[in-house]
Amino acid sequence: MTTSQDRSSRGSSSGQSLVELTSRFFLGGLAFVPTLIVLALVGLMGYECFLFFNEVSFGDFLTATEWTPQFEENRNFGIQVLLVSTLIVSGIALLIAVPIGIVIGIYLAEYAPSRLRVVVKPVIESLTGIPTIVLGYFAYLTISPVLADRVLPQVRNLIGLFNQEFADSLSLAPFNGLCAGLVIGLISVPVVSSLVENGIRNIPDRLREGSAALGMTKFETLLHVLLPAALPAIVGAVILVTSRIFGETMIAAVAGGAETVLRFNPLESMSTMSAYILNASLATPSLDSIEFRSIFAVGAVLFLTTLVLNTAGNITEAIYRQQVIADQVAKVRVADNPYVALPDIRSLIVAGQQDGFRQSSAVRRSLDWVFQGISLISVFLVAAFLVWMLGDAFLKGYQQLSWAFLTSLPASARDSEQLGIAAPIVGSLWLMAVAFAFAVPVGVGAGMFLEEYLPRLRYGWARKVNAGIEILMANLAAVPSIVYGLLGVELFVRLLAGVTQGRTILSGGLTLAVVILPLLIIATRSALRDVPNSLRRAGYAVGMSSWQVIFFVTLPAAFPSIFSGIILALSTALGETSALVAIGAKAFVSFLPENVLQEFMALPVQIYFWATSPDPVTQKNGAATIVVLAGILLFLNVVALLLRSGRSKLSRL
Amino acid sequence: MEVIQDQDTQVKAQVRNFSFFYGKNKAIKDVNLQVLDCKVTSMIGPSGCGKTTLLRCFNRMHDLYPGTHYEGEILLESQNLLALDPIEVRMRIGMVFQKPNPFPKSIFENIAYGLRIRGIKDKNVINERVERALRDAAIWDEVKDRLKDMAFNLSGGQQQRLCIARALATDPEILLFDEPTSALDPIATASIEELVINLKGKVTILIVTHNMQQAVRISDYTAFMYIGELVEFNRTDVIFNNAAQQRTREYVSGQFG
Ligand SMILES: Nc1ncnc2c1ncn2[C@@H]1O[C@H](COP(=O)(O)OP(=O)(O)OP(=O)(O)O)[C@@H](O)[C@H]1O
Ligand SMILES: [Mg+2]
Repeated sequence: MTTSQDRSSRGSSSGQSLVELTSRFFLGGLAFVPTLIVLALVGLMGYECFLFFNEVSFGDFLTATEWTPQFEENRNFGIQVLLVSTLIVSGIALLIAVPIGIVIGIYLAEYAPSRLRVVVKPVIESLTGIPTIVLGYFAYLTISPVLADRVLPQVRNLIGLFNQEFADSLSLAPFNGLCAGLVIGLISVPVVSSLVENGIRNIPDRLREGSAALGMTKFETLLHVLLPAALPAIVGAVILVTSRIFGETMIAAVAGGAETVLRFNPLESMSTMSAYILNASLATPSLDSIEFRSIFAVGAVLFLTTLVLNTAGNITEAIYRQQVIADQVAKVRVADNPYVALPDIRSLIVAGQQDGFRQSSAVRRSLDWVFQGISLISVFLVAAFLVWMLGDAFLKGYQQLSWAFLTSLPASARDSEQLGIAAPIVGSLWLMAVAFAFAVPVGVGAGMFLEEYLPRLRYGWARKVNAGIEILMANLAAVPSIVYGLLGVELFVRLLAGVTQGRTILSGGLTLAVVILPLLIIATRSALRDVPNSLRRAGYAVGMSSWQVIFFVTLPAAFPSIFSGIILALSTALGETSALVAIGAKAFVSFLPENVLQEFMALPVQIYFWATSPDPVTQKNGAATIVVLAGILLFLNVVALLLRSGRSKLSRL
Repeated sequence: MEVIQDQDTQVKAQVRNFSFFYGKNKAIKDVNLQVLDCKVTSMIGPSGCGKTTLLRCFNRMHDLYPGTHYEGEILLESQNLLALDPIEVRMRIGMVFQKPNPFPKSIFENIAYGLRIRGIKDKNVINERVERALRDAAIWDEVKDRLKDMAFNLSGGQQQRLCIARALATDPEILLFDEPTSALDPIATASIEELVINLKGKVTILIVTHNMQQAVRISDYTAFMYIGELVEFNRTDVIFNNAAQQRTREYVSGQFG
């Protein structure tokens, strides 16, 4: 009796260890995918760059002051041209995003009453959920004319008081770096504000209380205690947002224009690096031309820049954490007699400022009010921008909305009255299906391995691998999606053409899978990390083995937040434009795709083509498409939000 | 409630018919208490009886969080400090917390910070004050060569003494201590107890402690609290040897709590 029981339990435990091994190796294999992506990215880009620099000398690339790939004679590839535009547009964006983001982040962390915070925070953060093509469209069609017709004349008048000649010379091109920079800056506000808010919230209350106990006002505590403590988070936020801004493609391409001329005036059209890649991909040059290769050379510069910025962000944070924050320390004189009588500090203070504490603390406290005023203005600016943008698209587009608009195919590429968006809707659905079929299993599996198995390997190398993967993941998530678009072109459209048949749904879906994979891994890891360890221990306590704990205890507990991560990834993929443009989504197809090996349209790409059309009816159709896309995204984000808040209620139990 | 009279001391602060609420929860119930000038008064009682809560009323710490309110009065000399500007109150009443909480600044700046905000600009005065405070807190010898180091790099006991120095530097009228040694080892504890004893006669001290021996060693007066009420207040030797209330006797002899 007992022996048979023994045997059976031994048998089942060896069976289990087989499952254990299989699951470990299988998940481990999935966790290797991101590394493969990096290798492919570096290898393929390196290869194209190698071919490019066979034809163009590296010296010319760095020193030439023209960028003219289209000329047969006298082709020039001076990266300076694109670099200067990128720096100018990014500089404008940073001037907006950093101060506003920091102020709002501080306000949300320290000042906002909780009732106001629950409203303000989602409003601000919903900016990140809006597809950048929508914002680019808004910048070009609405903001740019307003700046040119309303704001510029005022500025001219003002400057005219001092220098008429200069004032007269000011004019705003329809495509311009200023508008692109402004809008990129505004949508980057939530990136800064949420990182800063978290950084400040993470500071323990002990520090606030310690400062308050010395008689500090809230603002003094903020300035002298909280901000220095949160400095690493703030520096990290600034560096991270810089790298995001550098890679921002659609707004730069739509609002900034395509002129590749060395210019320093942001009132004129200027093409950033990412905008160049997009525009050049659109021209679909032959895959072996120098123009095609130049895309990769620019892509490599963009990739390396974001890589350097992200790494710099990590290192700065590490250094700041340890290093002495430079305080102007006066040299303390070691008194000969330490116990000489010192004047009473209270008499000193009263002597110094006759009116004593009361008045001075009123003056000091007024800074709190000033700061709150500034914060509210910033919040208002961002919210007004959001409302203006959504309202504008709705007003322009709602007349076009009809059942027929949603369900009909375009009659022809020309007849804009009869355009319908059935083809892009179905195309987007196909793309999502393909992307999710690949990205969800790989992303969740890899996240499980990295979070549940890897930390338990205690050998030195495993710990290093773990740290390395953490950095890799952060970097992968920060790679601009246009760069993934290039990877997609080279890998899926070209190398794997035998499988994917070129510029098809399969290629597009796989590329989107690569774009969202890091998001899924990060979301899975943080969801698993939030599962309390006591739950795991309870699993082991009843005799479960590790794979059983992972699949039957940890994963179900983490499921709601993993699912909300998946939905957010879905909305990112749905709004992704630049990678699909690079892959070669069509401006027009006359059929609904029936399998993954066909050409395709996609909603955001459709918006891009229609937005840049000169025909007003087509533009209205673009606005209507925006309303449709925004509606879907809003729905998805609300679902994700509900899931998250449901989970946080659970975890509070 | 019986009023303690000592010929040679004055009353520094007086708690009168005082109650405190966290939302609807009445955490301090109608307490009357005298804090005598330049003496050490300790507050003892079982966990959760409201010692920390009462202590933090003295410097209006609760004002940092919404939903709390006070009833009754706490007189600081002759003014009701509940009616004053909390920032002014905190300028006059310093506090040392249970866990050390140095600021993310250099050792020097941790102490100079409070002085600067009080409008002291003269570098020499600041330097002297910083040194004096560090000496008074018995940490000067350990840090005098590394004043520019981050305060976080100090040990826990050193950090706690730095926090004491930080509070001392501003010359508070009353110094509040909330279990300042509960996170420290016996040696660091002894040095902080010695420091408190040395401060007697210079500043009024109110200290919360769980350690009865500590209360006996350092305090002149002791208040025993139980579930939000002040059960008994008297000279420390009376409370520990000859308490009037049954519950006090049981508590100090270790029969409950
Ligand atoms: N922030 C708060 N919000 C609501 N109730 C609180 C809060 N802090 C303390 N309380 C309650 O007030 C009562 C007194 O708590 P307090 O922290 O003052 O006790 P204590 O005597 O200091 O205990 P200990 O010896 O454990 O530190 C307790 O019942 C506690 O639950
Ligand atoms: Mg306490």
